[in-house]
Amino acid sequence: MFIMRREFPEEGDIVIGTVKDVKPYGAFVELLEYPGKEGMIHISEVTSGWVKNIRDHVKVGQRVVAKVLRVDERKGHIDLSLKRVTEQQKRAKVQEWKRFQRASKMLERAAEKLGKSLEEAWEEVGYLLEDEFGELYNAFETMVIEGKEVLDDLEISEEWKNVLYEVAKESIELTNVEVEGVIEMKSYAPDGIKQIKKALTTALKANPYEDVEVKITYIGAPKYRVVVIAPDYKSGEEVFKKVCEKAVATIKKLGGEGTYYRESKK
Amino acid sequence: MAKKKQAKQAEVNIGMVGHVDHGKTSLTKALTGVWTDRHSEELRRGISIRLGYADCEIRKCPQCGTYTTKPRCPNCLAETEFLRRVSFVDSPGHETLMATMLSGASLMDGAILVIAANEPCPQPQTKEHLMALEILGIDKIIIVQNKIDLVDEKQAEENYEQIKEFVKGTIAENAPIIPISAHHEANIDVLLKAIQDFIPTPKRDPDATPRMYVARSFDINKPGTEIKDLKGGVLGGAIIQGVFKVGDEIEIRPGIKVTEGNKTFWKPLTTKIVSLAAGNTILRKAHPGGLIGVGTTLDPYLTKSDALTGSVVGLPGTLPPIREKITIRANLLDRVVGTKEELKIEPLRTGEVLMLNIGTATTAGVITSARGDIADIKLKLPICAEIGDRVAISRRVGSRWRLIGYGTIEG
Repeated sequence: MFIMRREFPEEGDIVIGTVKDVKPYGAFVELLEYPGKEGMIHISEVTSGWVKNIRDHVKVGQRVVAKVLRVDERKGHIDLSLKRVTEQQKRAKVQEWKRFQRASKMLERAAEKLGKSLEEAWEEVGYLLEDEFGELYNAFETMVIEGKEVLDDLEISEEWKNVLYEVAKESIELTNVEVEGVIEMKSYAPDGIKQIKKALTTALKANPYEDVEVKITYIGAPKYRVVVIAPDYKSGEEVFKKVCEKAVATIKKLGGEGTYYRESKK
Repeated sequence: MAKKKQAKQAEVNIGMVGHVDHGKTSLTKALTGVWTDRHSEELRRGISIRLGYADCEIRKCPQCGTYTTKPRCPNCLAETEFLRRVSFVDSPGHETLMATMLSGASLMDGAILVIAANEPCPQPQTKEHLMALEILGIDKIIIVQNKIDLVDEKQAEENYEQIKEFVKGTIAENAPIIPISAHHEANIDVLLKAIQDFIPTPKRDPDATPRMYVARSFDINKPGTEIKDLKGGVLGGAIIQGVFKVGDEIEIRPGIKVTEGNKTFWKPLTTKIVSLAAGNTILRKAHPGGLIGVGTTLDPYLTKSDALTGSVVGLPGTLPPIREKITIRANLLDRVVGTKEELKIEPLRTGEVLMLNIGTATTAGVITSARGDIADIKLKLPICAEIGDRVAISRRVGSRWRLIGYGTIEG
């Protein structure tokens, strides 16, 4: 995301815009990331298959995601295509735009606290954060997760750091993810129930993260439910696997049987 | 005369047997206050059996001599004295549940044969249940003529004569016949006295090697239980001899089927007794009498859903062999009981499939060789049994298994 930093998009970029005008031969799109810039979607680039009437496919005011085919900076022409954008690219672009808008609002709110304009905010800290975190929203999110210290190495004034962190905390609520599954275990030992308990208790200790919670409860022999509550899917999955494998390895070492599987959300 | 100390545990098991709907469960209720058909209580108590089970105290009034189950005399309100705690095994009376009845019968020291006064005697299951008592050698019997409130004097006398004719020449020939109404709890005191007189507590050897028949097995943990609160598997059954104590190591046979390499065999389970209970009463040790819940340290996976029903429990190294085939000497009845038309019972045939009951175990078996009254049988499920043990034999007649006699194990 490089709004206001490049005047023109580059060939191959995925861009987002609003349809401004529809002509028989094509549609004109105002590019949201490049204020004042307009691109044209030729009728042959609207959709695969034959287009009888372009107005059946695009309407004035419609939000569209397009691919940049050619850019003629001298003439100010930007040629776009709708049909060459995959559904996944489209979804990713819409999501990216939403995050940008939200981050921009947070930045504006931080600027207000310091009596500065949004333009000044971008010049003084916005671009710097983008360069460091890849995306402005990610900068705010990382502050909330890891703390204000993530800004320590940046050449940003203390008062900017404080208001940025403050706004980030106000605006972003972390949502935990749950990873759920089942361990199946059997023991044929004289003290089988003790071995089951030992395997599961040992498994709980295999969780390396302080901010990840693991609960194991009984379903009905030989099934035991495992619920991992984590700040993100990556660590949730990691802990789930570690815990389950520890339980299974322990019961097997004791001469029993074990296996585990994920369970889809109900 | 010194007052007898009140017992925590029953000392004798009395079966409630008879035709379906003749009032066995109602009679159990009248005697014990317990509806044995409420199996939803299983989890609450941690122990119960599909065979209904309930205890009561038999007490006597020192003033007027009335027998009762109440602490205070229903006649003169004097405080009553404890005589004995007894346990009732309420078995199903429906013809399709004969195997369950036979399992229950193996836990009985005596029986009450319940016959409804308002129906002709005998009914099919009345016959079949009496035959089962005969086959299993349960000879301490009381006959209860129930629903006496629904008939007039003449009908009652007719029914009485039918009963006498029915039991002539059988194991119950000299059994007392007591008219009662379980529903109205009429004449219950006379029945209690008869129980004291006709079903004495067997003499037990406290030093005998302990042994128990498993009637049921459970997982008493509820879904959602936390790991630290999990309990081991529970066995429910009757001790037939000796004394078990908390802390005993025990062996359970036949155990579980295991495959090692390409060989499949049955392997006994071993575990430790961590608790003993008779109903809601916790015990440190348990002797024969009543239904006993045995808490173990086994994985409840092994005990859930009655997986160990039919097993035999004892101290390690003391149990009979595990047998996958047996040789029996058969004693067959002349005619099939339990059906309206009595069919003649043919001799055993090679290749025939039978249902066999040994203790609380039920298994199918195929006769591999039948010669006279000797039969070699290959069992579908193995049993744990001694030479000389009795086996109830049932044969498929129409769409039902019918009791046709018994055998003794010879090898």
